[in-house]
Amino acid sequence: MSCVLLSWCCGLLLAAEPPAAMSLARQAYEHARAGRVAEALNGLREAARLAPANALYRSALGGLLEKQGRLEEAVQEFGAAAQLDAQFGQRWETVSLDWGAELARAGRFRTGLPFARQTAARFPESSRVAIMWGLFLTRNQQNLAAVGAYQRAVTLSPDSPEANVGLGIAQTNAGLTAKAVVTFQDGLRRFPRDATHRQAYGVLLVKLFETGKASAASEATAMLESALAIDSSLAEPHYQLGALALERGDAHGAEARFATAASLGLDDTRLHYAWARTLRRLDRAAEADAHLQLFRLRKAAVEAAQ
Amino acid sequence: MKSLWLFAAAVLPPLFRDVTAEAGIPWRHFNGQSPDRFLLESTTGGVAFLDFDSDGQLDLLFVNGGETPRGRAGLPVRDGLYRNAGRGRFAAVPSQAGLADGRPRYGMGVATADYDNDGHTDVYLSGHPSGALFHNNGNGTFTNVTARAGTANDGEWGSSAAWFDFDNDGRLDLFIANYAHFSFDDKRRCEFEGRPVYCAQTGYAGRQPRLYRNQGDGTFAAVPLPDSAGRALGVVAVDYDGDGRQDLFVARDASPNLLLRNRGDGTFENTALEAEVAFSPDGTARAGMGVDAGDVDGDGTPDFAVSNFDHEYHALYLNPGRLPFVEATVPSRLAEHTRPFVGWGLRLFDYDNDGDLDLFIVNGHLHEGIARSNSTVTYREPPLLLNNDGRAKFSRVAGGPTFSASYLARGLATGDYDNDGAVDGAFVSLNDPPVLLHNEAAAGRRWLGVRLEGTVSNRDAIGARVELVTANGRKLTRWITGGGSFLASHDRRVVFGLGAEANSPFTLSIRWPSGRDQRVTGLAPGRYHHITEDKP
Repeated sequence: MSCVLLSWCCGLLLAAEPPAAMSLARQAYEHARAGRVAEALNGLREAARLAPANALYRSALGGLLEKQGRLEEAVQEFGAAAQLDAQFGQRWETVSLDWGAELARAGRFRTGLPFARQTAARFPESSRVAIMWGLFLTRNQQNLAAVGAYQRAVTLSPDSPEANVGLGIAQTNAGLTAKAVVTFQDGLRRFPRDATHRQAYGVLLVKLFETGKASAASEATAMLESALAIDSSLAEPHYQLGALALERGDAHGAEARFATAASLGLDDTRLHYAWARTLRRLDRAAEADAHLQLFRLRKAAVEAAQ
Repeated sequence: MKSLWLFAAAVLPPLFRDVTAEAGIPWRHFNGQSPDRFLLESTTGGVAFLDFDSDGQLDLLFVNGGETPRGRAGLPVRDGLYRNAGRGRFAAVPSQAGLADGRPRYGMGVATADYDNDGHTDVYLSGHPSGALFHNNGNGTFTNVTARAGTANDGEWGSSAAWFDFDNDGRLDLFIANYAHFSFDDKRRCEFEGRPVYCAQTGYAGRQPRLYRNQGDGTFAAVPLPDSAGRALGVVAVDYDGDGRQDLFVARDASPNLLLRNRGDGTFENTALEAEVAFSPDGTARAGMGVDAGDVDGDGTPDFAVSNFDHEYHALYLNPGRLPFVEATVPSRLAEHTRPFVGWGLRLFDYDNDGDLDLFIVNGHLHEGIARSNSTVTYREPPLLLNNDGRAKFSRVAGGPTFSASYLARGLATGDYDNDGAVDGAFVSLNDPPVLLHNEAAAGRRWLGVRLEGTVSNRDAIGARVELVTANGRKLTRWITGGGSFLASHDRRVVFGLGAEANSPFTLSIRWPSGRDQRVTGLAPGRYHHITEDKP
């Protein structure tokens, strides 16, 4: 908050404004310092109305809204500020990415798609924005378009493992399996210590096993194990290894993996369903029922979010 | 491998030959698709093999969709009833012998059976906003008896339906799978990359299925079912747990599948979760469309196959005789064969009469632009013919040009329309002519067919379990199921493929729905046998 207010205050001193607007802005600044956010927002909005060419007022509004967690509105204010003064473009991009992340966390991929599209159009040179755009496209099953977005991200940031992993996943979803394998294997060479590459490639190998490549099961196991060797905090490889163990009838092995995945923070429908099935095979009915109940709860939450 | 398969498809004689044109079937499906993209349009297209004129030859009924507010046909939208004229020819039956009574209705599927045990096959047509029940008058015509029967299923989007005798009183009851709440006034719009597409099914609230008990006087009474609202598309009735009572497997679209165990006291319990058939192994409610039951692995218990969406894999659930079922989608190689396809109708039947139940699946996507999303998925898709090695492992076979062509296929029915012991097939493709396939794969293989007639049990013997032991000790178990596939009804006869078995008489063991056991000896192969249930 202090940084935002400081720049705002300095801006007020520098800007030549109609007296009423500047007066309102100064009062808003005092309100904000005193924690009276609603009053500060009202004052700034009125100041912006009286002095529509002043980018600082819009930027300050955006900053206050951002601190309030009202990211969508903050994006609009920073956007307006950036239209008036290009120096606010960086802030606009950052807040847009934050809002995109917020939409993604809430699972609002469909309703967030237009926002992601607009953001990608506004910041065509940003690899982080391209990655966000790729994620929204992926979650809307626009898989070939997602491949394009991630390819753009890789072009903009060749050293970004995140962009490369996203490309591999998008290629997998788009049915470009051979290209995905190349992308992941290339990523393994370029980012040998990046565990997310190994995790994502391991998941692809599981799919290849399911669809007829018998040798991919052992390759997947090795790849997922190698991800854990680099980053033991990853939960997903444990889930995948547990699912493979359950598939081959190793309930004890599966149970240990699922328990570890849960201890590392995994708490989704997949885990609780697979865990319940495993516990039933181990004749631990009460625990199985408890996980089925968690499965139902998580499922209901996901469906509510959609 | 793929190129080898295409080569085989090009050079080998077809296992199934498309005989639609030479059979004289000019009918065409119409779904009323318009820029509005009503989801209803994507799920229509029923088909049935039935002997409506009781002449011993299977006739064909194709169920049309209908018009939508902006999707007009210009001509009346009609179902197609075709009488089997023999020698591979079919003839259109004027006014569908009375089945047209009840239109306009947006048509979905068909379930046929002799519900009043008078020896003539009756017809239930599902649809929106209601269905219709037609009584066979015994003279080649039908009468719409929906109002009197009380089976209108008003206000619903009915999909598949199944006749079965849930209370074993000798009268067939009717189960109707309902999909979702729907109205043509609901103008929701969805786009994919700027083009109109069908909105996701999850935006449509699923509905409760309906079960109507046959009261024996031409009327039916609604039977309460467990709270089970969801988007139901496929149903098959079979006694999965061997307790002598018919259960139901209901395939549902992004709703968990149902396995409704018949408690025997007039109620059902949903055991799908316990059976591990409700969800995929990762807990996803897949897009279940069609379902069929049969003994895939030769252990004497009915297994289930379910068609799903692309990348979900069409599923195989093996029945070990206790719960849970074993999902064998990956080890059976169904995952490998079905990954890019959106499946609808599917049938477990022994197309090559070698004694194993094979799998015939018809496919077709919903979204015209799907290839822009995934390079391995297409809008129109080929049917699949999967050969069972007898141990529930399937290999894809080149069945002929039909299996290299692409369709928007929906309903699939099977039946031996020329009584040669090789089971034929027919399917409906959206806005296309139907496809009638003549089976040419079973030539030279021995077979034995039976038509069961219940006396204490329902006359169609739906629910009967039939077992044949071959000379080399192999046991073939089949069930006369209710429903099965998607929007379809089938030849009720059972054909046992005997492969290269000796040409000696065979013995059949029958467990009738009434609970009676009957043994029939001295059955010669190469023909159908009419077996009547022993009276007490």
